[in-house]
Amino acid sequence: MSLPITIEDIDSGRIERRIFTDDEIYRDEMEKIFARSWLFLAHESQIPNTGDFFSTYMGADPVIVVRRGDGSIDVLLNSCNHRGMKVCRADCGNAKSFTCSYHGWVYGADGKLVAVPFEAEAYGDSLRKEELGLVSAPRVENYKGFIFGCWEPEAPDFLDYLGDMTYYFDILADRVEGGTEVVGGVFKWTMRGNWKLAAEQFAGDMYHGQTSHISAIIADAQVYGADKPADTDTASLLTMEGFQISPGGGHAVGAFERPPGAPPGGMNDSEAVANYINDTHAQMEERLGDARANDAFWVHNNIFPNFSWLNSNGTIRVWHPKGPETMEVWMWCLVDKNAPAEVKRQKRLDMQRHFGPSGTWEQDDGENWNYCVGSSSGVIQNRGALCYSAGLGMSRQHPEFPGEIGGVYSEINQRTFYRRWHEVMTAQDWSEISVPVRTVPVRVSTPEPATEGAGS
Amino acid sequence: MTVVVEGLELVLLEREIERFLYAEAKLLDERRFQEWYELFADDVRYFMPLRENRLVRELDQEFSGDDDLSYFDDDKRFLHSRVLRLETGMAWAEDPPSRTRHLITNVVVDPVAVADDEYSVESNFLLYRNRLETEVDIFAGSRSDVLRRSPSGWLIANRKIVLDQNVLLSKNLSVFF
Repeated sequence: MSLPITIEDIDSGRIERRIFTDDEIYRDEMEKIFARSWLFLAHESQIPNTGDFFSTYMGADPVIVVRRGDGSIDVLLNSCNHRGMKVCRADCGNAKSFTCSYHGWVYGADGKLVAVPFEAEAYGDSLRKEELGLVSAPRVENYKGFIFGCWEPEAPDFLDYLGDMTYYFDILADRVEGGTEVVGGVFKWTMRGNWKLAAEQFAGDMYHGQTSHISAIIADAQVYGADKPADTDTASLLTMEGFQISPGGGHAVGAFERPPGAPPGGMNDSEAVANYINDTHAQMEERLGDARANDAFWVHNNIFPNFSWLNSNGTIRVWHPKGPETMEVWMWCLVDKNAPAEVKRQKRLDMQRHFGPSGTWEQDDGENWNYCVGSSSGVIQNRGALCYSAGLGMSRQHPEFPGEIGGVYSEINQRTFYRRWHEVMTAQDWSEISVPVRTVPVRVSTPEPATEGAGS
Repeated sequence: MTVVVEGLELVLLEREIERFLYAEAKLLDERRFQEWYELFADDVRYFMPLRENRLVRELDQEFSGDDDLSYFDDDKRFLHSRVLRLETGMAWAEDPPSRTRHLITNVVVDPVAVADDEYSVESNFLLYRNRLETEVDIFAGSRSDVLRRSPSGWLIANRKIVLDQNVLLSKNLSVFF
């Protein structure tokens, strides 16, 4: 299809409003973006045992992520081949098989069709059960505990898809010995708003913080301000310099500069968490090097298209598209696996009190995304473009950090996101989509997770 | 020693607690959040777990546990932060504010006291929220409270809220339960 927006528009900081509201563009995104990109599905700690499963979506397609007996992971389309009924309607659990509730077709946990009621009477010997297993994703990758899947056999390998984003992903996934796990439970909430608005915010928007979240910052300062030394309070962080980094592939990272001597912890850290971050900082320096450990206070990130996280409080999330004007947010709380129980507890409390539907920061994001779409559906509104020009012509390089870099309030990452979106939306297949150039080696985690490379 | 409230005394106690819960709901619906906040004991836990869709054989795992994610797991200090936020004039999710109506029903006081002058109280709620031009949210669920009699009146010493939703059908939980 022809898009109402060109690369030149994006490069000059003009984004047509229609891409957030148009039905046809949305349907095309399902095909072009979601059916052929690598998508985050689950964390391996959600499915530690054989037969453990987690139900999620890849674009509009329901899938089941299942742990096999050999430790590897399958991603199965959650749809019976007889009439299309969902074969699993639980969010998660443990199963030896998935039985369709309509006519009773039974699929093994590996997706193979193993039993069909009245098979002889209904089909004689004509039913080719070996060809009727659940459709499974041909590409599955477990990167340091983070499980991704992709429907497209011709897509680049996951590490090539990430390019230099691995350098930044490791700050989340590989900071300390033992890696990460998620706290039990997944926040899921639905809201009006286009999925791209949320993904682009986590890609590149430090700018909204001091307006969108000011009420929570003020209220927390009133209640907790006296607990903290002034040099670690949020207000001082928000006036700092920083980076918006586009490492390629449409992925994006934002960070504040960390002044020499500033503590490495996050904004709302309790004493237990601050001490833990300090105690483990030498590990981070050793594993990731001085620049990543000491030159930045890492904040927001997005792996194209819709997997985002914030480093300091451990919120990781997927923006599930549910129509051009609706999204469903799924959010997990990530903690270091080997952290003390009290540290995990404090991280969870900090995260869920500030992020998620009840969080005092995130409540206001929902309001904004809701009425961005609501005020872009008029005829006159849709004749206009939105202004994405912050930081145009002001990008720079960093001696250590790979990628093109703008200032902390630059919209370079949003433009990168939409450039990639445009490239993928206008490509016939993966041969027409560029693969990001890798300039830094991937850090191999030791010991390697037992399930690395599963399913691919 | 186990204290059991019986007969007419239980009727009066239940009625007194009902009146307290209705007064509490009125404070919320009239947006008197600071006064509402003062109804909580200093050691309160304000808790709302998540609910998963589970097969019947795993239904014991339907609710998220104490160390899992939950919509609310607040102490009194953080409740204070939530209330102060609404007074900043910049809490956009509630500014302009929602119109709410808390319908509190099925109030049952456990006749066996938890402690001296402390009682377990079950109630159901239907919270209707209407906001801006056409937004409507309806939240139904139950609350398990521990109420404590103090010299200044009843205090909420514990509140567990169970919401009858899986995917939250609202863009936020910026209202109180």
